[in-house]
Amino acid sequence: MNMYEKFVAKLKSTFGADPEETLVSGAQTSSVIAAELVLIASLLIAASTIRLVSPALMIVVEVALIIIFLYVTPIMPKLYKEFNDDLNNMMFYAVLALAIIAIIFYWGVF
Amino acid sequence: MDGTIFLPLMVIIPIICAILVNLIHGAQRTTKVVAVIGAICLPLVPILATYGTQYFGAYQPLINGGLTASLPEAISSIVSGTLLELFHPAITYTFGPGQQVILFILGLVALCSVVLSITETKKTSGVYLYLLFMLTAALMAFVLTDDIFNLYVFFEIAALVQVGLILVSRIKGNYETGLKYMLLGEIGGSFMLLGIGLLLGLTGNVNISDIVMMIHSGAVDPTNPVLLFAAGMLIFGWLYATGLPPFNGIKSEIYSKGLPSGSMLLQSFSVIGCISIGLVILRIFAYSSTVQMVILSVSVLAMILGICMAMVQDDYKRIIAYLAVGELGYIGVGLGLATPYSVTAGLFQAVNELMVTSLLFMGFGVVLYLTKTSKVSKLGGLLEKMPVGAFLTIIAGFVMAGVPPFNVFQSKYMLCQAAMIAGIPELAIIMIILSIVTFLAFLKIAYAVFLQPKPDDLEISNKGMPKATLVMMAVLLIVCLVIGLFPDMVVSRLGYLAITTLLF
Amino acid sequence: MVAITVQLGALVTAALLMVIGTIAVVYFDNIIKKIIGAAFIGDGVNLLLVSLGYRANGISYIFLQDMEVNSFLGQAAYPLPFALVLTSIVIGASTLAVMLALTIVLYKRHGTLSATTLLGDERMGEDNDE
Repeated sequence: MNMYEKFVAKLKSTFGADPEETLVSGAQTSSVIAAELVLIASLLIAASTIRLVSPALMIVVEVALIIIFLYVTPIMPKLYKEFNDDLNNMMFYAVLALAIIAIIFYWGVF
Repeated sequence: MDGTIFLPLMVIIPIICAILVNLIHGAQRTTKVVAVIGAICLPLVPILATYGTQYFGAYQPLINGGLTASLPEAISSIVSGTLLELFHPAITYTFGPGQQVILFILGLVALCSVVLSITETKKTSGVYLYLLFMLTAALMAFVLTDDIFNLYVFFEIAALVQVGLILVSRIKGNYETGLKYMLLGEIGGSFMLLGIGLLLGLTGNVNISDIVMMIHSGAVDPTNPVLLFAAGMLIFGWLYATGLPPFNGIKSEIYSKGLPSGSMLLQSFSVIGCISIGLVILRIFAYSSTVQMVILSVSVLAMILGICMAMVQDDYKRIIAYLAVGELGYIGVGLGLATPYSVTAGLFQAVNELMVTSLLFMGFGVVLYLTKTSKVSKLGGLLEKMPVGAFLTIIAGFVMAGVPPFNVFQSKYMLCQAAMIAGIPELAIIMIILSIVTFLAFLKIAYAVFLQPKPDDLEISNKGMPKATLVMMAVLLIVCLVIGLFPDMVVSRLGYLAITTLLF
Repeated sequence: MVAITVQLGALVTAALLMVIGTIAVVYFDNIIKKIIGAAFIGDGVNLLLVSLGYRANGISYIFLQDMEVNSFLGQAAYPLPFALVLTSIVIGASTLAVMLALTIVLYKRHGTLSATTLLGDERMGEDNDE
């Protein structure tokens, strides 16, 4: 029960300015937990496609992902905060993606 | 009569309608009549047209013999027998079976959107209808054009019109969203133009068939890093047009700031942009495995992020918007696997999503019309007020999640099969898991809006249900059901487009 | 030698414009400065497009009756980029106009041009009243 209460407290501080007054419904809590599990599961499954490039790299990535997940859960409230409507934030990610794409395609493998 | 005359008309009719409704803005009745007639033409023209090619200004390729007579003899002798003879000097529109299906469905969605905007507003606004028609024209040109710069021009027109559609809705914060979208669009659009410029510099052409020919004939080295860099820039433009990460935030924001009829066409832009720019990238760069890998990984990321973010939101417009972004990932997976079967499946998914997301925007548009709020936590008990509307909306949610016998089931099934055939069963597993979660996210809003007890402070207006919306929803659902029961009539046509994309 | 220098100069300027524009869009807080940065990116791309059609000692690409075909083909500049750039400039101008108009409206409403306050995260307490 302790973990659940911690989770709800985290949600309250994420979705409202004042944690005391914010009400988080049961449906909302369970959907956030579902999203959390789906995110972890599907990212782990997606990472296993790296085996097509190199099996050793896949093992490294999977282990790294599991360790990251152990340390940063709950992820969804953090993602919700990170994917906000701030222009500076969106612009940062857009330029970051541009840089990654440019690097991959200019220096990347054919 | 020669049916190819309808080819340019597919773009010209919506443009003329747009200008007319803008001019006669004051006269309510005439505006309505013109708009409805124009909108009915939109799905009809693609059915009437015959397959063919339209060369604007009648400048056919020299090998067809149209222009050779007007060239000086010295030039003719230099040109004859070289690649130059095959080049397309004119802006070329190609219309085939695949384009026919896509344009018919697009026309149907545009028709619904126009009728919806006329019935749901008390005073018909010619300016708003202008924006709807102009966006439709741009989307039609997107599908038809074989010229990459023409694609860019209509892309920018569509971007401007989209901002217009956001500005006319009087939702709080729409001006801010419009400015954000334009600033991000300036970056996305400019770098896409950079890619087009580099392609032009390397191949000397803007016609896509000619670019493909130059690369395949060996005139341009396919491993040239500048060429691959151009591919990267085109993919960046594709990400912006489609709203895949990192642009998923702004896309879901603009959907939530539009009126329901506007949001329908806004999401059509994402879907059509996804397939038309995606097909261009595939046609030119299908030989590069890097391109396929980037498309695939971004699409998978979009699916996971979009659908997980949809679960967290508290605003049903945003939930639908994020679900729409997630569904776009399915199309991207189809394109990224780059086999004829998977591209067909991706195109089929695109056609279906065009209808399904529109259905959801229409259904929840009724909720917005009755309650004036889009917060899930403030809503409840609307089943009593709108039983038929609720029924249709819930069916639409089933369709989106891929429940048989509807069309999305068929396309998602095809996508899973394509992933298995390509030897990546993980993708099929992810797609199945995420369509279950899509259903869950939809169930969350359906429960909150229709089933949970009505909160005391919720005011439901006593305006009657907009009948036209329900009729439109029923029509779209019937189309979904028919396609779901007889998928072959759509898939065979789209398969033709997929094969021509990958082979030529 | 001169030819290479002119075209190379144009290309380097175009690249610089794009990089400066991107930096301006990301780092400046003032919306007008962001818009100027965005316009810089567009201008850089346009300059790149124009310089693609450059030809050293080239002539205009209009074929007159008394011209020698081979010398025309050897000297004429490539016409396509110029046509494209004209269209692209018009598009850029209209986009710029709309962005500036939006900025005027936002400034009149809020009295500030700071992107952090105007275009920040506004989901908290957002209520979509029409």
